[in-house]
Amino acid sequence: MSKILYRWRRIVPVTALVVAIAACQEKLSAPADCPALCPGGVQLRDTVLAPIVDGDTSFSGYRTAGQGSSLRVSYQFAASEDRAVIRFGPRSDSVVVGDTTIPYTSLDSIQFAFSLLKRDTSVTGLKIFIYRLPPTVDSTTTFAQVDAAFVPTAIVDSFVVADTSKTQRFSRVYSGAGLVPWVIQAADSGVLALGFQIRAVSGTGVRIGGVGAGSSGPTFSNFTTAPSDTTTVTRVLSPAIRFNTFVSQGTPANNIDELTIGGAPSSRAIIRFPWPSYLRDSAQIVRATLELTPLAPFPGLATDTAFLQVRPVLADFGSKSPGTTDAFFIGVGNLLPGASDTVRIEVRRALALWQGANPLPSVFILQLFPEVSSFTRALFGSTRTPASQARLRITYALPYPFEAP
Amino acid sequence: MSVRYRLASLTSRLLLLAACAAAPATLNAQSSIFGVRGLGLPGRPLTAATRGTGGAFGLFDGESDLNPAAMAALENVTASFALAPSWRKWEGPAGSANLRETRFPLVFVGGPIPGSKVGIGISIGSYADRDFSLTTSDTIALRGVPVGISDTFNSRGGLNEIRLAAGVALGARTTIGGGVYWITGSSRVDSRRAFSDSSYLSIRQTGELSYQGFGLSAGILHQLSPSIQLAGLIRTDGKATVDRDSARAYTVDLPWTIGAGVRLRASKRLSMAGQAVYRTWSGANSDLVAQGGLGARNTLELNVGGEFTRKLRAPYKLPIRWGARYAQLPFSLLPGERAKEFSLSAGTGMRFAQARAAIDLSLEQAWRSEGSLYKERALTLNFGLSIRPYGAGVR
Repeated sequence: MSKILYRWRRIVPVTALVVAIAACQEKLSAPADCPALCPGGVQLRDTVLAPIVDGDTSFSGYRTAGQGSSLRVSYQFAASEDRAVIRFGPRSDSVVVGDTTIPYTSLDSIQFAFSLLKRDTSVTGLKIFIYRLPPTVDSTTTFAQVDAAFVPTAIVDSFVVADTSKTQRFSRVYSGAGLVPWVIQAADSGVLALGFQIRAVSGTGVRIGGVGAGSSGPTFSNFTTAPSDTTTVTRVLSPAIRFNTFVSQGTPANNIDELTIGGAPSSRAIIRFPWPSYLRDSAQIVRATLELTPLAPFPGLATDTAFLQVRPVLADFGSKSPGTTDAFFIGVGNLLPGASDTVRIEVRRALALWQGANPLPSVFILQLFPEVSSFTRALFGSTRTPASQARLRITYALPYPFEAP
Repeated sequence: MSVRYRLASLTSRLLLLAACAAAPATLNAQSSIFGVRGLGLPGRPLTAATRGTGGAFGLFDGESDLNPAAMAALENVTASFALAPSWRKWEGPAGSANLRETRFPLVFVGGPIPGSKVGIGISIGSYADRDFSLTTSDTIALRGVPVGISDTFNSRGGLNEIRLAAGVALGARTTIGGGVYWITGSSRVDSRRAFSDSSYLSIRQTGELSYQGFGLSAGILHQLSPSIQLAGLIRTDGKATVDRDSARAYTVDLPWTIGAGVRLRASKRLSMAGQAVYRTWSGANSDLVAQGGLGARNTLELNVGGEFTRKLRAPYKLPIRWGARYAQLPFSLLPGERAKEFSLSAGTGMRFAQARAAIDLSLEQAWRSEGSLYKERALTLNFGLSIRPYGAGVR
């Protein structure tokens, strides 16, 4: 036994030493002066793709005024002259108390609220006027008809906007004599229609929340009381907005030689690119930039930057091509009002969908965000104006020549 | 116990040991930045004892993966493996780095066939090592704008050789042997590039290079006099095919190897040996250049070393081994340059458990260089463990 112990006393330390050494963590990274030393080497290429001739065009009518999140109102504004219109649903002439419907004879008070979402703070003296409009306003109502109704006697109220205020929720309660402008005649069937106009020291525009703005939309609340068994109860009548829009003095027509994005009704552009097999199959795209050349400075409201969204389409159905809704693949660029520099939008993630065994069509659909809300309407060159056509600039890596010895 | 029974027993044990020995998927001798080019850094599938003599006894060592004729001199059924942790310092124009790794350059199973003058064995050894990681930073112009980049190029793996060899004694003074080699292996490579500008997606590409070839070798040992033994070796490895991700990339000629050595028994305690090995790597030159490489050159390797036995009654108890080695490397880092290596080594060993097990240790300091720009120092501890299940004296 002692011999065995003696042997193991000699073996174990040596074995432990070897195991300890073998367990040392490897460290193999060394600095190298590549590409001189590195075999192969990363090979980057830069290429510029022009759209397929006449494969780029604009389509209009995707969304109309009022279907966006906000309503445009402007006054002597170069970008667009707009008036906002809202119409609430019929206000009931009775209230429900318990299981009884009781006509009410008078209102105790009315609360009207709306939100200013965007304005140019460099233009001072901003004042928002609320006009009473005929309850018949609808989508056929023109700018001229609305503007003609904006007479002093139709003013319901006005709101002064502090010069420092960028956004603001206006809310005002009317009672007593203040209810007079809000009286809805019986002939109007309980329908209230209002128009928005602004004035300022110089021409400008604002965006107010519409029905698409959720809690930032206008509200019209009517407070009344009704008799109950032993006392009276308060009831609130809040007609929902049934219609809202803005009307513009002039709606420019799209030029077929240009790519138009934005406006109201909204325009979107489709651009088709040739997609070579070396990019589809084997290249690793490290950067892809869509370059768009504006044909004119972007109109718009200062401080109200619009965004250009570039979406890969899931299928090419022309104007009805569905763009992806996955934000990961959507390229976004800023359209600063007044800017006329080339717009560059990174679309590398989108181009990943054009690669592989089942690629998507090599087509982009471009749209404005927010649509039919912003004053921005961008005009870009197309393949009909070759000097200013869109370009897709791609930086990609070739397959690494690992086999290079 | 009949010869047939013992042969069957030996065969089954050899198969078992071979299966165990084949467990490590890759065997690499030693990593080096000088393995970046070509097929990598040529391997040295030698036992730790032979490494301790600077490789000078390689042609006379049946357990080393060099001369099949030496198999006939195996006295016992033996299974052995070698472990070689290394610590390196690399210096180049781009900077220096301290590196370390552990490799397994050789696994061997073999022994004499009872009742015969034949020794057979199978071994798995390193043929060329492609373990390295290179990092570099630079600024390049992309779209006309300077962009910082950080590159990393990694390679793991290399070429291994599986040898089945046999040696036979022709009389008392001469043995001959032959071996067949299956050269196989793969290296997993990946390249990464990160950009300082986040607009650019980091690049990562991966690939696997697999190699395959076959070789033949023949060797001879001749006892010229009681104190002088000569050795000779010739080997051809034919061609190797190189596949990238299962697709044929190219073929490359592998070298002929010609080696000669002499062992001198200066006294009962002292043995000295020297050998020279010449490899015609230039045969691969055109193949590598055609693939964009820098080519290859023939190499000469010179080894000299000795072993001093401290106790004649126990020759395996802590002998003193030493040696020196000079070798040219076939694949240069830069065009027109010649990479070379010089190393000094020392070692010892011992047997225990009634000589059924043995441990050999050696320490090797190597200096590699190419021109005045690239230098590498490597300290390698070679550890060899061998097991002889029958103990001594089977033959």
